[in-house]
Amino acid sequence: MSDQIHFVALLKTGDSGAYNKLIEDYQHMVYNTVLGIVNHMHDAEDITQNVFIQVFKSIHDFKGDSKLSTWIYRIAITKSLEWERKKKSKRSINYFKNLIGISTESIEMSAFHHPGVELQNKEMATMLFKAIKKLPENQRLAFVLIKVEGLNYQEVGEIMQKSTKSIEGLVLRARTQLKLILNDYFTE
Amino acid sequence: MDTNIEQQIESTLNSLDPIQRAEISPFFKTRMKGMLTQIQPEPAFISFKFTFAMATIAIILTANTFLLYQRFNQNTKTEKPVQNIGEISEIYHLNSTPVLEYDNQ
Repeated sequence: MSDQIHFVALLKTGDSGAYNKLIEDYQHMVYNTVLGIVNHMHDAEDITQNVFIQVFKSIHDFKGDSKLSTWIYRIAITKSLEWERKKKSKRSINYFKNLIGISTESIEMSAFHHPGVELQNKEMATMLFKAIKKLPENQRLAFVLIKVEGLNYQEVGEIMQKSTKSIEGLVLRARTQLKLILNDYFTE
Repeated sequence: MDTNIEQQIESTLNSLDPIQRAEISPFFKTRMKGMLTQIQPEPAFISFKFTFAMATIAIILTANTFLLYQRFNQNTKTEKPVQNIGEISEIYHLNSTPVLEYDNQ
């Protein structure tokens, strides 16, 4: 913890070495989390960039009540959800434009293939990611942080500011929901 | 639920279990470094800027409302109540005396 205090103090002074270390240490963590939420590799890279800019801009607001990684996870989640909302409204506008014939831009989301999934599981994982997208926000975040980012219930609880018990509940409900969604896919 | 479908669902749910962490492009760090040199961290007080501005506006509005209210009260107190109908007609020039008395000529 004292290492973190020292490191954050360096970041607050604008030390470039500290920033390089921050990017080096957290870039894959942020990218993987964002990718798990937005399911788009190019956009995930842009969002990761925005996350680090936000960290840089608001490091003075970091009080040290939580781990630095927890704080960065929260920024990554917020930025990803913001991006999703923007994308959703853009898609609705395109839908109406297509409807009245002033645009032919595609409104379909392409299938997502996570680069970290084993080859033999690729097809099933793509289907699972499609189903995850249909979950309520809290269930989806908890499920992604545990399954894709590999965090435990306690860590997810700290990030989402909920108790371990409620995270367990969210993941359980997510699994039940996913089973129903996948059942529809398989019986179609 | 069909056992075959049930099995497929279970395998799909477990398809992420041996997942590797996705890694960002190796050029990301260099790109990020270049970008961060152009941005300055926001000083701590900037986050209070909006709140400060809102508080200032609220104080100014309250002060204005208070002053206007006081002034209005003063005016209503100093205004003399109108005593009778004659006075009202005098104030609003409603005197019945004709200006040109054609009938009397």
